[in-house]
Amino acid sequence: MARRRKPCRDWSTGLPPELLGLVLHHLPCLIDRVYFACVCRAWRSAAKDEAPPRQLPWLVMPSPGKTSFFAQQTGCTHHLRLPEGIRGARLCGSHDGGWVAAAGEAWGGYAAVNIISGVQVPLPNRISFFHPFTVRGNGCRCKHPMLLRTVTFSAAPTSANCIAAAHIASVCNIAFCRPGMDEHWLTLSQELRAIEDIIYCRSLPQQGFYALRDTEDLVVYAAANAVAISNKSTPLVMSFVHHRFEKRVDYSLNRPGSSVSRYLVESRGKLLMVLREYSMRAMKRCTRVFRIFEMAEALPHGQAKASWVELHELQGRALFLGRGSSRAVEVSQFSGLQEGVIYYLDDACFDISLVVGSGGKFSSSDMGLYSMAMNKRLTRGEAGRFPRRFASECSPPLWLPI
Amino acid sequence: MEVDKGKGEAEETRKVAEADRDTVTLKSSDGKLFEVSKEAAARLSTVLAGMIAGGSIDDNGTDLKQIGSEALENVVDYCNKHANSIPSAALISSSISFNTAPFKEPEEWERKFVDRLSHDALFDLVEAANFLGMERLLDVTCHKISEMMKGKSPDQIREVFNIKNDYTKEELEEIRQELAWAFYDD
Repeated sequence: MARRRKPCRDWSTGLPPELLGLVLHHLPCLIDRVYFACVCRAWRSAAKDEAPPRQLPWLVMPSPGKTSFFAQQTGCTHHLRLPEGIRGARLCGSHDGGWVAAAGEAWGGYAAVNIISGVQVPLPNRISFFHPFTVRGNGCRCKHPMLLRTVTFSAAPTSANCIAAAHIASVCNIAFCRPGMDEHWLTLSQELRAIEDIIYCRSLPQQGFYALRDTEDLVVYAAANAVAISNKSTPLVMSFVHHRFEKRVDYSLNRPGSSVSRYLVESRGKLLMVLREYSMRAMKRCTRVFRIFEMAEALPHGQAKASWVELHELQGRALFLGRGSSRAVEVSQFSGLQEGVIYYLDDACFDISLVVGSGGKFSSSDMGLYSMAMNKRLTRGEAGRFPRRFASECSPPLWLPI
Repeated sequence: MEVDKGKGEAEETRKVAEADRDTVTLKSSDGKLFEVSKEAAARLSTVLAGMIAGGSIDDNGTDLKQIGSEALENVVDYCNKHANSIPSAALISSSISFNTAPFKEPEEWERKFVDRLSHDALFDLVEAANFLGMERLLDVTCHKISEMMKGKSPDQIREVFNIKNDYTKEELEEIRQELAWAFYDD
């Protein structure tokens, strides 16, 4: 240990900027860089020349009082000052660059907010849908309240071509809007099959929102009028394509006392489906196994269906798993990451009673690290300082890509 | 004549001995002498490697006027410890491409080596490593300095390194406004 003597050397201006730059290289977390620059002028000017480091998603733990985040790269937890409008809100989605989707109330107060810049873009509170049977006998468009489960954005919510897809609880379960532009969420025909996860894929041949059903089939949604969507006077029109999958051999495998939840992740130009098997123990979820499948396109010789091919290892990747916001990262590009590990949260199922009930407490205990190589959950000792549980009055934790 | 001849011979013998020796002698700014493994010095320091190859090593102690005795002792200590530890190929390659490749975590002995240093000794060692072109030592020391900052607020960092806050109140307020997310007030 260093002796507790007050340093006499001039740490402020005594070190040449290139050495301060080297020290900065060893500070992978953005907040440490910010604090470094705040120490004194000399350090600030040294920090100016350094490009901000690539961040792993922060684990944001919202609370009406003090919100904090855990940075995997350093194993440190920091306070996070949320923009005023969303303190105490439920966070239900995120996007690159520090964007979150927030629900200020149970049935409304929806907005996209940038945690770094404080910019806010309103999201509609109601859906608009076509009701075929009305008193007068002819159908009409109705407005209806909706409950936001998860929001996914196709681009930064401030960009003119951004579309938001919402997984909702209402008369249907998926809806779309242009943030800051549309007054209502657009729904398509009543989509009643259970949706497990919705993500936006950029690197796949077919760009769009991929919605995974509990049947493990996909529906891909994209703007039908892509060129005109930045024009407010042109209504948003979405088109969709069904991708039917060949049933996996052990698809219907539903062992007694075991439930399955599914996530989508885009990685290396492919689509992954992550299967999470969990059981209930004393009213609490307990994750047992993760399995990973890669989408294989339909075979050319006449086979019409795509299929899910199981991967037994992550091959140099780690996964941050979260509803609507999962991402795969290349382990070689970051420090402090374990290869083949899935970082997961307690979001295997959506508890609607927590959101609509008053005084509910969001309590997470089924969160942690799972090693694909060892096929097991990592113990407290192996998982470092990753939070094992979290409770909040307002919101479950969420991954925030910076 | 005799004397001169003898001197010349002595010079010859000394040069031969110098070439054969497996250590080099380094002299700190305050005149203290340190012996260091020639192989390790050449491998770990680009500057010393250049001096050894160029024959500018002085048997009576190569002058390193920029480095004090405490820092030089640490440099020599590091080189000798390094010579005794098994050099892994990965370690060497990571010290060459330290700017692009992810940093290879300090080995246990390297960690212990920098942990026992006072703040001032660490400061002097970073400067010495920089002067001698010792990339791995530079990496390990800068890593240690960064460890002393991680998870700390600007106030705490200033406290650790005894740095005076030279911002005006207005400037600090401006920074806090601009980076509101990073500053928590009750």
